Amino acid sequence: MEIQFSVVSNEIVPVVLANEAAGAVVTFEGRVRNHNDGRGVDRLFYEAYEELALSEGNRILTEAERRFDILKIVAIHRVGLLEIGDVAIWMQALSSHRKAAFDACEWAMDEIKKSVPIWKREDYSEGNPEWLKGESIVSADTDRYDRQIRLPEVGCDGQAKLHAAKVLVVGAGGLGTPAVEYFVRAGVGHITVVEPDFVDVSNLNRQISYGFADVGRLKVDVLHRRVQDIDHSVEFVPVAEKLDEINVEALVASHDLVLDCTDDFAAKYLMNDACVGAGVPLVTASIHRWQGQILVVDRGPCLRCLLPVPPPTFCVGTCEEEGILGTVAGFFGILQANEAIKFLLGVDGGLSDTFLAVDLRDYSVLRINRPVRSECPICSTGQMTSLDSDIEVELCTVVGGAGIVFVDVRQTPSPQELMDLVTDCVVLGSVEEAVERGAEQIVLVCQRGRTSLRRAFCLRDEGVRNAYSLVGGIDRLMKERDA
Amino acid sequence: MDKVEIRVSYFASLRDQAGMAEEKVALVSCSVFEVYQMLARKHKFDVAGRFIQYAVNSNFVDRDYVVAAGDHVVFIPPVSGG
Ligand SMILES: [Zn+2]
Repeated sequence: MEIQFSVVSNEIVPVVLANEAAGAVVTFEGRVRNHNDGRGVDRLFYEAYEELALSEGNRILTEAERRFDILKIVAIHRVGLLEIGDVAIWMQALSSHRKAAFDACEWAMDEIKKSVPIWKREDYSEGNPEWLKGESIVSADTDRYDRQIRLPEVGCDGQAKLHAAKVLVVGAGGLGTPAVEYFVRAGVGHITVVEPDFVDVSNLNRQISYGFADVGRLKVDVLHRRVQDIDHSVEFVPVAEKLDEINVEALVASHDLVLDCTDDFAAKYLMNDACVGAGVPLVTASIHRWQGQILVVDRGPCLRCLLPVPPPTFCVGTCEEEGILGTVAGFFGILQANEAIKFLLGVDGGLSDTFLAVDLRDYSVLRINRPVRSECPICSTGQMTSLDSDIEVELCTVVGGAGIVFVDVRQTPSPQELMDLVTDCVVLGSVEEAVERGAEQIVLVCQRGRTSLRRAFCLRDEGVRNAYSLVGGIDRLMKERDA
Repeated sequence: MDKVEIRVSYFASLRDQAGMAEEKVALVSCSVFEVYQMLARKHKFDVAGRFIQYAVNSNFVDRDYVVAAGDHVVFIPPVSGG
């Protein structure tokens, strides 16, 4: 045997491998040091995904033998509890001339750190031991995922996909908590949870990650600990904020998939628009007493294709008002996680053009095909016809009219830039100011005409019936100016 | 004008307010929106017709879809609980 990678739990006893042709023997010992990142380290605990560690380690040594002119290369990685000074990894390379053995050792060590699934926990002098992800690709043990890896749709490839996945869960309530727990157990590698609320005793009938002792604590903090209890290798990012127009785009764009577990229409539509814009799939669910509904927005019809504008919150009940059984919330939260996991594995769930509703009292099931609507303000450039069809206007149709006022509604407004583009028109800094002035038409302008359209609908629902949105926004104005 | 008979299903809060999951209705053919307006008056629904999703025979339709005899119409109000 010219190459061998092994994992041992006993102390490593260094030896010199015999080979008469070897003019050079290079030995490397990686030892436990007493500090890391400025913190005092007392000891280390190594854990391996052994089966994969062995195959990956041997693959690296085989590659080292191919790349460098060596006679033999062997490496041993120790797992379990190690004290300061103990040898964690031992490697020896033999070659005719020293350079090849030095190079092979260095290259193989780098590769092993990068991709062999062995991870470590550092116990610090000041407490708070920490699991370090290290640089390995998989940080898990085979047994944990064995039952799902056996599924033909999962396998080792699928497990690696789940491990590499980044999911965003908005809302850590009755839908969100079961979904997150199933994500963790399935081995989803990165989970970000957005939730600003604190645990209330009335949450406990359905929000399964919280206990009585957690009442009054921040939900994301309790959930973080719960996730670490289940699997400390999961990267969990708590975001104790409300989802809003400012944070939604960056949050959505940095994930592979979004789960809408909120009970808030404004948030659902924010996610819908950001997900369609960024091309990130959205799995959304809502529950009402015994009934729940789920649909997936993924390159097909979106929420606005069903209902172009979010209904005002007053016309929709919440769990608080309507009542909800924990099992119903749990059922739909798990259904969402199930759809998400299928998507990450590349298994078509069939819900991206379907609306599925299930009544858990009488088990009636409703499946309705969803088309992409040509008048959807997000999916198409067509104008809205079903609701307030006059809400979008073009510059040429409004310019020159008396009493017309433009308002820049971008996140960072630049009234001066807008003024240069709509010469001879009144540009104001806020909608309130425009209303106060008694403007006849208030034309909202944003970068592309989407935010302004959303805002105009909101204003109309609030009673500002003369709110309009400029089609195409600043981008279109600039194009027309340059044409 | 002749009347057509259709089947109407109520979903979520509408089911609660109507006190039934579905009913058969005979009416002069009109749009699903008008059907809703009529039944909303009858059952005192508190959701405006502009916020209802209309489905006929397992497909979502525009609110000006005109019902035909034998259609199965489902009214789905906005649901946001989570
Ligand atoms: Zn759409």
